[in-house]
Amino acid sequence: MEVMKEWVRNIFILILALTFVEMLMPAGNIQKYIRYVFSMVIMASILMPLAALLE
Amino acid sequence: MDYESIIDQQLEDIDLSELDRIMDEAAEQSRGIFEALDTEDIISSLLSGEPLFDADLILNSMLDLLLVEIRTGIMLGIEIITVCIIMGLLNNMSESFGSKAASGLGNTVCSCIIITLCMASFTTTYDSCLDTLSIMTDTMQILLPILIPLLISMGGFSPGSILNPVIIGAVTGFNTVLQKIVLPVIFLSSIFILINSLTEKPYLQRLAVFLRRASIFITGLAVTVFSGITAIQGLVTKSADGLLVNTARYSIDNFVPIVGKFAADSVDMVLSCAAVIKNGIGLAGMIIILCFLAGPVINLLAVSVIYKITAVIAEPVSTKQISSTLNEMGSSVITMTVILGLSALMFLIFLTIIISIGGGTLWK
Repeated sequence: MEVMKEWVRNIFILILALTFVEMLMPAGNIQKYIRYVFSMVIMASILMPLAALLE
Repeated sequence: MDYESIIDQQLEDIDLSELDRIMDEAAEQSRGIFEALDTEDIISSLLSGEPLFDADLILNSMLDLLLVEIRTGIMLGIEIITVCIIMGLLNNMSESFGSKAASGLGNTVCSCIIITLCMASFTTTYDSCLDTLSIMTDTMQILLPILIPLLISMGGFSPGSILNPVIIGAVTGFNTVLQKIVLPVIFLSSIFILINSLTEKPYLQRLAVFLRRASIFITGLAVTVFSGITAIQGLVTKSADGLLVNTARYSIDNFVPIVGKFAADSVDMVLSCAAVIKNGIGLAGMIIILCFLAGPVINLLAVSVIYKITAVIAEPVSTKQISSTLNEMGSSVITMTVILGLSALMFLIFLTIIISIGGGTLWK
């Protein structure tokens, strides 16, 4: 259960932080790509317990 | 000898003070839906064929309680809708000034406020759900040591000795599964639902819904497995005991000269009286569990109604994410209600199994 709690906390903080960063980004062409990278990061954090399982 | 005096004698030998204490507590918990009944009252009304409750009265007081709960919980809805209205105002004003970043920031801050409000209320709901579950488990653990000896005293030797560990194990196991896996998973899924309201694109919608469905599935599976095992054990041992008691009765009847017939009949009578007492205690247990269930279930229903109505009202003024989040939170609370109901159903099934074993049909 501790692992689960930490996982959820990580996802929560990550998404909160990324949302704020996204807002503070300068508007421009690069924004799309940064957003893509962010979603990759979020996906990685969702998959975190799977990595622990495989070890 | 009169059957009432036999029942009175047998009742004097059983310690029912613990049961009556829980009954009083349960009646207090249900806030006027059920009234406290003595086990002896239940047994006497079983014998005279009177109804235990007034159905109209119970329905009316349940409706009253639901309205009272909605009224006390309505503050949450009002707060959330106020924040939503402010959010809509901020959106429009900042768009007319032309700054997109400012409106985005305002949106996020408002979403954070709504998340905090929802989280605070959801935590209380979750805690009350956990409490109810452990109270119902405690009730079962107190009832079983009273019921099982009665079952054995009526000639149910093998169900008594086999069912006791099986049912205690099932109750404890079920409680552990719910408290350690199912309810925390629902909690996590509602956290994911709340995170969704922050982002423009739903990142975690599917994950949250999946977790919720999985928790319902696990509960259903646990109920089926545990009650299935118990029912099968009860059925198998029941027929064996019928054989045993019938043999005893037959041998008293035929091998004891002259008075054997009367002795066998009085054995029958004493056993039937014990069955009446056992059924009365089983019924008391069912009523206690229903009492503990009624208050929290109505409370949870009221909370979920508030979430759903708030979602309906918030839809025109706020963003799409906020209203869908509120809607999903309502579904989460309903899921918890369903799980509480399922666990109560399982406890009721256990009590019914104990009541049905040797409910008078055992010796014929």
